[in-house]
Amino acid sequence: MNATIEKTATQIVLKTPYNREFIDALKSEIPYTERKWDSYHKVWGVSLSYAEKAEAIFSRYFETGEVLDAEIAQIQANQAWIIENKAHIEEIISALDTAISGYSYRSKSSIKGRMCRDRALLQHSLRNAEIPVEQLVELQVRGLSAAVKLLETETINSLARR
Amino acid sequence: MTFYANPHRDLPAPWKQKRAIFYAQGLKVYGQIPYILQRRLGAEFFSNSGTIFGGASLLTTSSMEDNYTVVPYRQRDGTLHSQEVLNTLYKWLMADKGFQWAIAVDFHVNIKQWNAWNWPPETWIPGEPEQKEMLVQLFLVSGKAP
Repeated sequence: MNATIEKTATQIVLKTPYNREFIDALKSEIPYTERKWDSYHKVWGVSLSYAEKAEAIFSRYFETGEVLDAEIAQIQANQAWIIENKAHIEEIISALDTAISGYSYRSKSSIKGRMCRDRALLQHSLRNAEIPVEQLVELQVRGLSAAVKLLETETINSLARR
Repeated sequence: MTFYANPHRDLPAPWKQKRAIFYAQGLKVYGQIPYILQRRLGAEFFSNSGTIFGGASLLTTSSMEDNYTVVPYRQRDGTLHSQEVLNTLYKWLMADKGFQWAIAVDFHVNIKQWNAWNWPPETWIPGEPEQKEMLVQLFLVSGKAP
């Protein structure tokens, strides 16, 4: 299991293999009101006000270089997966097109809006999957992983089967 | 408050020059720099387009700056960036149409210090595309003005 550190909008998420010393350091250096153990996902969440502290503790026990390598591998895997499933994604896009065209152009339906958003995400992911990893910006990296997550859902796949 | 990147504004565009400002604490590049490079440099992306109450967007005024990335001169532990990473940054800056740069008269102003009465200083002075590679590299390494 690779150790990862991720910054979200509200907190820093630390996912690490079990390390007693790391946990002790986290507990002693960050007040209990600023950290929380998520037992379902098995990750530590630290509030943004202690972000630097959390990163410092993390880098003391885990190699950040390894983390970045794992992240690059994950991005490449996402790209490869999208290229592999290109035909299926194109099918979903055309199914979405058909469904969207069923709505009036004046429609403000939230379902239509969600389908338009998903269509744009998939269309962009097809293009971003072919860009070299070193040139991708954060926005595109997040888009790729969001597209992979979207394609794992049953709702979007059932569209293509109709 | 969540800050978002704008796909129409923050992606690197090959048909136009990038813009960068050298501040005392780091290099400010408008838009986003490549993600892997961003992670290696410990650079942070700042956006002025936020949302309130989980959805309603705050429309920014024309007097606010574009979204930008701040590349610090030192790593978090105080050591210098490796020459390899700096070369990659420089190559990216020079790629396509190159970049325009200016030296800020002021230190980097934190976005959190802005308010309706205190606007960021007017620092942007467009210059010619930079050709003196060594000069800029020295500046990046030493953190001093060329």
